[in-house]
Amino acid sequence: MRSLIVALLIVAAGSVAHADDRSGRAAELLAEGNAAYERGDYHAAADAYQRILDYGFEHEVVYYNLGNARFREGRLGEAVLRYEQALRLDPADREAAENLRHVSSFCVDQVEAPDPSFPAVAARWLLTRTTVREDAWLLVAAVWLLALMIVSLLVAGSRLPRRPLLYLAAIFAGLALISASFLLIKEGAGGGDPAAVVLAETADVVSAPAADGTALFTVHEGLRVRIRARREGWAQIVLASGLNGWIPSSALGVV
Amino acid sequence: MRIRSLRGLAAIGIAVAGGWLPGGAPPLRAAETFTVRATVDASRIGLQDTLEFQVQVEGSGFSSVEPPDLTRLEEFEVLDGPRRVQRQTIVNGAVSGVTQFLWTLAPKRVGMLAVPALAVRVDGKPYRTQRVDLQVVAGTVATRVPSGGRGERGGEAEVLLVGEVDRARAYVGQQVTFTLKLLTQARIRGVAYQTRPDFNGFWVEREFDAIEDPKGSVQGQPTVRDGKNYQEFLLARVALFPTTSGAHQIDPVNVQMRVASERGGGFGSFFFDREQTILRRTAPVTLEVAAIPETGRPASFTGAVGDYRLEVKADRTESAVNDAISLAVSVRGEGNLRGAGAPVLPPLVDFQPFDPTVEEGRSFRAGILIGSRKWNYVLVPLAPGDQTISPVEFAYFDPDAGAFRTLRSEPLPLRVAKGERPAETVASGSGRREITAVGSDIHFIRLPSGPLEDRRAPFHRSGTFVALLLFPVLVTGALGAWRLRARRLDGDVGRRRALSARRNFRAALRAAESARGAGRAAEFHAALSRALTRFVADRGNLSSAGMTRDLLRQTLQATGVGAEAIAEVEAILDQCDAAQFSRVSSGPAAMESLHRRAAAAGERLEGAR
Repeated sequence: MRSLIVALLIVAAGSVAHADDRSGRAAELLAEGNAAYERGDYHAAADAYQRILDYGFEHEVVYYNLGNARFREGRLGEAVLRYEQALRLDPADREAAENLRHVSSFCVDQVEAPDPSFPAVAARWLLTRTTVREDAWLLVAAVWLLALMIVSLLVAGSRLPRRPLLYLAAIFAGLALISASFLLIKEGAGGGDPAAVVLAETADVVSAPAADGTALFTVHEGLRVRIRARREGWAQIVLASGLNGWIPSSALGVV
Repeated sequence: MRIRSLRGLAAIGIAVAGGWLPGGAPPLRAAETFTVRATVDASRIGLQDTLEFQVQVEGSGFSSVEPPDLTRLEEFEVLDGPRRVQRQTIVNGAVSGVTQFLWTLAPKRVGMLAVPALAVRVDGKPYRTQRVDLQVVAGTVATRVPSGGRGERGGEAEVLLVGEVDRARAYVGQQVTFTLKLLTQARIRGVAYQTRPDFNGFWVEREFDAIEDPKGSVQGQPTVRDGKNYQEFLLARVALFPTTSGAHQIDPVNVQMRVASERGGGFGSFFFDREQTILRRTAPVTLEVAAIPETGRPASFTGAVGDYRLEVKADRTESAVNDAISLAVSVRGEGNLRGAGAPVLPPLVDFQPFDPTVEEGRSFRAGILIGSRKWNYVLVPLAPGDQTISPVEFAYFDPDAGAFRTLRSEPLPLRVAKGERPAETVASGSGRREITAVGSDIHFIRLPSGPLEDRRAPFHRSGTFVALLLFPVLVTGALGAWRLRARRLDGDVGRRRALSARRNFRAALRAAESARGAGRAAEFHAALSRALTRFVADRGNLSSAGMTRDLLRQTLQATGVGAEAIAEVEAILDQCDAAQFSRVSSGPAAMESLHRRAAAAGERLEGAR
């Protein structure tokens, strides 16, 4: 039994050390990219940021900085994609949202989407106040505090004022419910049609997943779409306006 | 002003006497009483020359004539007309009449041109003139006028009208000087514009115009042109500034002149000095205009083209907070400053600038426009100390060098003392302006606020998150269950005793074992007997003090214990009683065996219902 525990500890320590090593290397590359960006070498900066991602490492700041470097390089499509990825990790990132808005103004395609209803706008506003990570920590804190209130009620009995404890327990229960809802909604949002961005400068959308399909319309880099289906190197995309068709998967970047 | 061309009438007279001019067709005859015909005063003219065109109805038996419509002539421009001339003659009692209509035409191109047949209404009935052909050559051929002996050719003198520019190529905003000159061998008594160009595509600044605004007599200068002597009169000079790039054309200028045409000697000439009115036109002038280069434009370039000087002056070098000073920025030089913006003021952090008043000036020096502009700024110092007004910049394009020039003033030192009035009184005044964005860009790159953690395995999907959530839930659940059980036991003494029977039994066994280890046999047996008796009493919720052997047996039977187990319990109790009361000491091995049997009996009792 004792040897098993020791083995587990060694494995755990090893994984922690490996994680630290990856984080350290990622931090080095981030600093390297930032230095290149500051001296105006955007290609080298983008290369350093991309290597962080190639390591299997993901962070909203890396996506954000990579979006900046791609924009400076003139690659609008990838800049939009990286800002979208930064916002996926941190929906409350105002600078990423503003950069995305600025870069999108240079994109050719301006799709007319139906105006969202007031509840939808309000819900979006609420959901973008916190990150998924903050929601998770809020849920943990609320559950612990709720448990503390319940334990106090059970153990202390009449020695503590019962009513305030009940009120506090109700507040923490509500908080836990809200944060859990936010967490589930945000997680569920990724469960629908995956979001993607057109990376090709221009691409024809055809009626079938084949090169000889009838051309339906043309899209340009930076356009945000949803992927409804995939088939042998082709993706069926749907625009915010409802237009849909097939496009080579290589022309897209998945958020 | 209507004119009658004596040259035209003379030519017409020649044409009538000689039949028709070359190219003219036979006239139409109407009822054999009058004729309708068209004639011109020359069959060969220059593109710069004008043509007298006449339609004449002559004969008897008509009363009214309507002139033809010349507005649709494609190859000629109608400069003047129609001028109507009528006369009647009575010969041997027969009345005949002539009605003439005269036009002054200008050809639009070189080559064989024709005035087409025209419709003339005589007494309401339509008649047609014949078509008239003529040749148009480049330049001018009809420059001579009868001069009464003044010209080089005895009876003829040449009169030329010349419009020219000082350069064929220019930049947008660069001055091009257009000069209108009269070269004459005849005596000119007066001039008037027939038409003037509108100078489309140019900003126009007129230096002088002796035709439109005569100020005394124009002095002529003798000059030689193409080997001929002329008197040259400068009629007008205009500074033109192209506003757009590309090819620009200055249309011809048409000028009417009254020329002294006959001058006999003696008494008669004093009374009968004659003159004729002629028309002269300039050739169209084409100008190539280049755009101001886009490359190398300084940030302070506001459109000025020419050659300028910059002067910046403050009205004093010492002031106080809120005590306004005046800053005069003057630009003066060759060029048109009306299309240029104000010089760029440096950032004035500790000053409140107010919109300037602007003074303008213009004059000409040797035909060159000298423009000047002065911007008077009011600056209110906002902070005390030794301040400096940084250099003011003014950039212009030098067309001669084809390059931009930037002028910078010297920095102006200003000592600002503390003011008596608080700064807010000014800052809250009308000079306050809202800050507006002048550009937009992406936000700069950034660093993570904490350690760079991989987000690929998010916290909410980790085991830590699940454990942190489950732990309080489980603890609370367990605590709740414990509390529930305790509450239930509080109301059921029998069940509580039954549940605690095993614990009490084991505790009693440990006490017996302890006595056995210490060699206290009596105490061992008493403890063992008490353990079994109490165990049975607890399970039956009875008092162990009153537990007789019969009651014990009944209790065990009631709880489902088998007869063999009951017998074993009774045997152990009997053995314990014997050991206590018979004073016969049991050996350690016997006590150990008895202890094991008691423990086993307890297990069996516990296994029962």
